[in-house]
Amino acid sequence: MAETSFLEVKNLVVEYTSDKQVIHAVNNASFSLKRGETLGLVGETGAGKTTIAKTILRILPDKAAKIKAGEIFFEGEDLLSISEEKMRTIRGNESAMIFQDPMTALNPTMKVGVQISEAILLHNNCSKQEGKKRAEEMLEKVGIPGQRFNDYPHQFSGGMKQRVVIAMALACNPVLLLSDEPTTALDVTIQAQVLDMMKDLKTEMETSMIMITHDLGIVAEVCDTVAVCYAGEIVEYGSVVEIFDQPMHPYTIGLFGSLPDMNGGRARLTPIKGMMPDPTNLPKGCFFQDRCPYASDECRKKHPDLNNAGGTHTVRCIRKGDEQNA
Amino acid sequence: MKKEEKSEKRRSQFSIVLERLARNKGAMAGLIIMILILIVVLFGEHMTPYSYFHQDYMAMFEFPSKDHLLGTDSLGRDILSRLLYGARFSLIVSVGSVIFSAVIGGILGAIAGYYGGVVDTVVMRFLDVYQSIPGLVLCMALSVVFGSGVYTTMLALGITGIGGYARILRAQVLQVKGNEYIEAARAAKAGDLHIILKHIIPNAISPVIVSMTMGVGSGIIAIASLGFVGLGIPTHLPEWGAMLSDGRSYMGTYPYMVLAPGCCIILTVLAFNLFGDGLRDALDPRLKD
Amino acid sequence: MREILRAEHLKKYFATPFGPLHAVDDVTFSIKEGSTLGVVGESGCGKSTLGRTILQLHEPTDGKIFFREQEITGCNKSEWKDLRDEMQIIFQDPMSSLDPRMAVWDIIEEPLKIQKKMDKAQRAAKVKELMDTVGIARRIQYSYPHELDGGRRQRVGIARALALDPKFIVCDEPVSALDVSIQAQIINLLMDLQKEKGLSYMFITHDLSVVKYISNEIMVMYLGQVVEKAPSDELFGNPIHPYTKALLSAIPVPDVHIHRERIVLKGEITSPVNPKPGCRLAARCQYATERCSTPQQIVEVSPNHFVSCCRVNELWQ
Repeated sequence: MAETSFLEVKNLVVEYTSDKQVIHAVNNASFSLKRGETLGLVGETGAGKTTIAKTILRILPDKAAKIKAGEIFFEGEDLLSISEEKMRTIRGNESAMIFQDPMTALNPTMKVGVQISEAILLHNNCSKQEGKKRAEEMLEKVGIPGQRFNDYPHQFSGGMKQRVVIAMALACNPVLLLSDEPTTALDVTIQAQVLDMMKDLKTEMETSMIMITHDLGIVAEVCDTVAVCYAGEIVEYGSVVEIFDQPMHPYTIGLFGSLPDMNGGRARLTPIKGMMPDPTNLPKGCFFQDRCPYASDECRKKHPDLNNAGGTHTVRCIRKGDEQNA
Repeated sequence: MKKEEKSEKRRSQFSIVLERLARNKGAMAGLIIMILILIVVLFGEHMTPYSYFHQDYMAMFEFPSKDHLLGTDSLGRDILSRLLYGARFSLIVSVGSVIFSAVIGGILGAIAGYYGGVVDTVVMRFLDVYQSIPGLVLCMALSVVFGSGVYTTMLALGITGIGGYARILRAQVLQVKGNEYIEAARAAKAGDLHIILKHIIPNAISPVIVSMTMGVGSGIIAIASLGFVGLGIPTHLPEWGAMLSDGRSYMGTYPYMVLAPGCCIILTVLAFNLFGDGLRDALDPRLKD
Repeated sequence: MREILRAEHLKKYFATPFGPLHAVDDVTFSIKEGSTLGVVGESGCGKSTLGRTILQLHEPTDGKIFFREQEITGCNKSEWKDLRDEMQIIFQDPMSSLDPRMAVWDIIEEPLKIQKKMDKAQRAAKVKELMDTVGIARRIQYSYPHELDGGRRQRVGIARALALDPKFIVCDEPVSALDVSIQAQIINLLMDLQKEKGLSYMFITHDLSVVKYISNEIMVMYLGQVVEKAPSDELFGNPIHPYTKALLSAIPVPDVHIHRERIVLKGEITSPVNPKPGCRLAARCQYATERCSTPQQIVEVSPNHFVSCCRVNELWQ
């Protein structure tokens, strides 16, 4: 594992405009990813996770979305300033994205094998035969018999379809894989199969991955580092062990408190009260203030910075900063 | 949040739709033209400078002048008078036929969609057979049976439109029926009639309403084309389509006879379409305020 | 505790061009007053159909349902009209289960209007009370569903279900579409309501962590059949059926220090259309033998712990 981070997102700000309202989707997000590592982007609906991933691949809707600030370095190059043409080769050859719903990612009128080999032919200089052979290999790799090359998407079940989508994404040996809730639409036993397979493939192909999910269980299982997103910013960032053993941001603590304990009894859950602030009208100061049990006057006045909490662990909360200093 | 403050007041669906409609400039322009047309339909005969059938053989093919603001036609009848008086035929027939086909078609479509199964098959196959008869042939047959006239035309146009509305509503009902709120209503013991009237129709009706407003426009054109082949409204009545086809032969030398009714038709169709478009957006509860 | 609901050999088949689809196949269970039965299984196992068949939103193909010891299957609808008020349902997707053209107030009031037992003022008082019970602020009473977030929408759905003062509620994946932090709020609300009003729930879900938390008893379903049924702690502490074991081991646990051996089921769920007799898991089960192709009996291995597996005695050592 190379120590230099090969993907680095710095101070990313993304806004959407709709009906003259500005939606602050991503506010000053920074993180980095090393080779072969998996980063978990955790958070609730509307926290900006998917927007971050789409910004990295530059596939945001052109009209509505605007990248206000920030840099994204991928193998030393700023993805936000290179030409669209260059970006297209990166999108095909070096990175790929898996979406939540496998049904919409596959063309229902094309054989799955052809869809995979098309992706291979598009980005590699090889003959049709070779493309077909590699597509069959990819299918085998994700646990689907190569003979099913000529089947259509509707002949596969949900889990199989998601495997096909993964095969398609991995067909060009990407070094960076962005997966947006890849197993949310699947059943648990199928999810277990797919996660196992992704873990194996990741080690085999040395792919770095950004895993977008709301499921802390999945994070514990597949991720090396975690970034917890809230209202478009990263409120806590660190290694899996740091965050799971010692969650510090009140939001992260709240997320853990909301989960029923599989080993414990029927103690009352401790949910986070209220809801995420309106992204068109974010409060001054800390975005979490209205839901935070520890909020003070200072939280309402000043927006907290990411404070170091030892090791690689950083927290966007004034209280934790104080505790660390004391 | 702004959104919520507004909802402290009770707003009926109707007032929400009106509010949204009022904000749509196109729809408002359409509405204003529609109101003007309505005034003409209601009071047209009192506004005419001449009677619609008054023939003045001394003044045939007159260009617009102080006496005849839009000129006169081949029989020396005042075009403006005929237009004003004729509005009622064009509008009444097209609006009447649209309402007729939407009501009958809507009921058929709603029944077919809601009950499904055999009922659906029977209704839809019947419509298939019946729609395979060309509309024009049907109209001819009807006018042979009933004789041509305002009501026959209305009926003929109305009957040809039934299939379209039935299909639109059936497709909508099928989609709405799959929603869980229908099951929720059933769990609360609601009867079929309650479910159809309270949940299915309100959620399925908007495409029908929109297609009705658009249908009025195409109805006017259809009347004109019926008149063209000698069916439809008796030719001495100043229906716009008939006026248009009358003027066709003199188009090169005397364009006013075509221009005036042509503009009226275009304006009316445009008004209904603009309004229909606006209405469609206003009726969608999921679109943002 | 008295029993509120009992189903005996309940079956619901749907006709398909390829033969009958066994959505619910010979399911027997009972629910005690004030308790919760969790029904767990993966998509297509028939759990939602079971809930709807209990409420007679689907006509059962065969079998009997008793509500408060009174049989409600096979009898004239009007006879058990009043009983039906006492059985309600909460849906998974609060967006599709609320009529987009009705305001919050009207949605909650609707069951009362249909029931026709109250006049306008009584209904208004009841709606206000319901909104307070489930925690809906008055200022959103005339909002429309699309203006609300998922958590509030689900509260409206719950208020509607409570309108007729039911005693038994089928909760069909009521929190699956919600974010984690909102999910916890709704679960707490459901549990508070149960305590306050003595409600009984049939809690249908695919999320095992939630079901363990909320249920007294859990029933695991696979392709329309019950494979295992036991009190909550017993099922999680001592799962016996190979499917239950696989299901439990598949849950990702939010703890970085636990590394469990996972029991991976081969392949995918098979088709419930015209199934062969015998254990339906056999094709995916690592313990399958020839005997598994014969019809399975459900046996009580310990008090209240039922398993449907012919190898239960060999495997449960």
